[in-house]
Amino acid sequence: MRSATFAGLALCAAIVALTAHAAATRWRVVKADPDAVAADARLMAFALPKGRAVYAAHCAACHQADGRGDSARGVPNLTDADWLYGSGQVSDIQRVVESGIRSGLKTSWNLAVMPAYASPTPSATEKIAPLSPPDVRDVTEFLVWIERRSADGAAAARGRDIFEGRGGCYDCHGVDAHGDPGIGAPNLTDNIWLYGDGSRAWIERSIERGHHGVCPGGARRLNAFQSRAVALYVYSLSHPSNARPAGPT
Amino acid sequence: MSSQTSPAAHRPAPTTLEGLLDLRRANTPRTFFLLALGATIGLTLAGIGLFTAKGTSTFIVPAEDVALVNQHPINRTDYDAAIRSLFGVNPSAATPAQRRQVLDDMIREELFVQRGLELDMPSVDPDVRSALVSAVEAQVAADALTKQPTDAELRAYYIQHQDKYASFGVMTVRDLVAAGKRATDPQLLQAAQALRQGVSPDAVAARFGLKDSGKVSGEEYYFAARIHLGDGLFDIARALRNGGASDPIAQPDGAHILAMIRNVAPQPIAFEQAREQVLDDYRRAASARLEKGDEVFLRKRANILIAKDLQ
Repeated sequence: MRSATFAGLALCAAIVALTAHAAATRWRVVKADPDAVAADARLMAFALPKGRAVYAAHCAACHQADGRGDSARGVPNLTDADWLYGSGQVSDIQRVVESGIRSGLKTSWNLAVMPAYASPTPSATEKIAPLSPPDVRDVTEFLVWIERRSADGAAAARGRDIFEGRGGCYDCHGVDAHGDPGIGAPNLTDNIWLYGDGSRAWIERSIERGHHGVCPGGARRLNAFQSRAVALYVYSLSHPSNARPAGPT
Repeated sequence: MSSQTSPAAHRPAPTTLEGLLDLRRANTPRTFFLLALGATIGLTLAGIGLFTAKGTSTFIVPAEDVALVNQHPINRTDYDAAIRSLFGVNPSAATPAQRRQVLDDMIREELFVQRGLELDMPSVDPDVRSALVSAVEAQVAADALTKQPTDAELRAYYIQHQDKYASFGVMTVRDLVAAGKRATDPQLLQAAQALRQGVSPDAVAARFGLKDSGKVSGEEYYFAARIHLGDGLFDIARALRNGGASDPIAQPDGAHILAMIRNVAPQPIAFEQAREQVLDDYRRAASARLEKGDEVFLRKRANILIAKDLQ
């Protein structure tokens, strides 16, 4: 009887100790500098399984279970090194997790929208004139040319003039078309396409119809630990070395 | 398996100090004492919570916050972001002076926000009122965006609103004008006929003394052609087939003839191609519905009294 009581007490003590340890580790994950957590193998080993569960519940519907996204829907691939917003640090990812992109939350990324050039008012905020169908084809040809693919040189030259001039494309994508991660403007020279496969048809469609993809913010659905854990998990998708379990120290 | 308990446990303990401390025996005074003690502690805590100005408060700053100002948290993520944007360094690399500056600024802001609420700024400051209204509207939109519609829901929405999802119409049209002439002029009728027979617009213009109006130039989207030609001429142009020509049309500046080079009418686009726009429209509609619902709810629960002269 006495030994059973001791065993019960020991079990309770073990549960309390484990719970306290888990709580303390959660505390450390949340308090740590987000960009430093990834280097701490123990914290990563603790946070990643939780982050994976949050990802499966809230992110996988769009970004897919493997994080490779869906370019047919403009959902970015999270496993490569190409980051639309920021530079792919955990803090950048966590900001998107919490505030989203054009999510309606005041803290979300919402600085730039790809204008729909085949409409009377391509941009709601900028004074940009619409383009004609030949203009759209010329800009498309320029974008094909800039990726060193075979293109009509004369059309590409006209397209460059539009890109750097009245089209206003340079304003977000830069004169060199390398994009701007400060506003989520994609690099147009790296053959990584957020929308479609980089074919002329897809590029024309993007120019004609514009884009303003949305990522919901999790600020009201996720607690601080969940936000941090899923940010770390997403980070690990493009940094597999940080996802290894903790080794001997 | 039978359990055996000591007979001593069933015997009441004597009401002495030893008896009170003997936990192996039942003791009625001890039971009542502990009950009373627990109730007193509970009532005291509740009383402090209810009747002190600060209410229940914590002395521990939660991990996700960097400070509590009158128990209101200052978020660690906001603090980290402020350090990065102000000094361009990670929080762990910031100097103590940089950290203190950011924290001081955030505490100051929080104090002023709280003071603003004490002063009832939303009631007196139109900018605060307007900011609050737009923030609440944005929150409603954010709630609508949180729900990811299924493909079936999107397809149902697409089918319901299919007329909205079409390719852009494109036309290349020449607008020839005979200044000061009437639409019934026989020469203009001949010009229209020549266009229909395949004579080039330039040749027809030269032979019948017509000029290009200059309103449209080259291939244009329907919306642009409508703007350039005006609704009346555009509606006539849209009905023309490739190589077709209109009858002379009376306009204030003379008679016009439209020669259609190429007309590609808008075509319905498949769900897969329209998906982004469908999702956008679906969310916009959901947001509008939510906002309307919120307003109805707020009005329903509000006590609104209206002055007699406005009733």
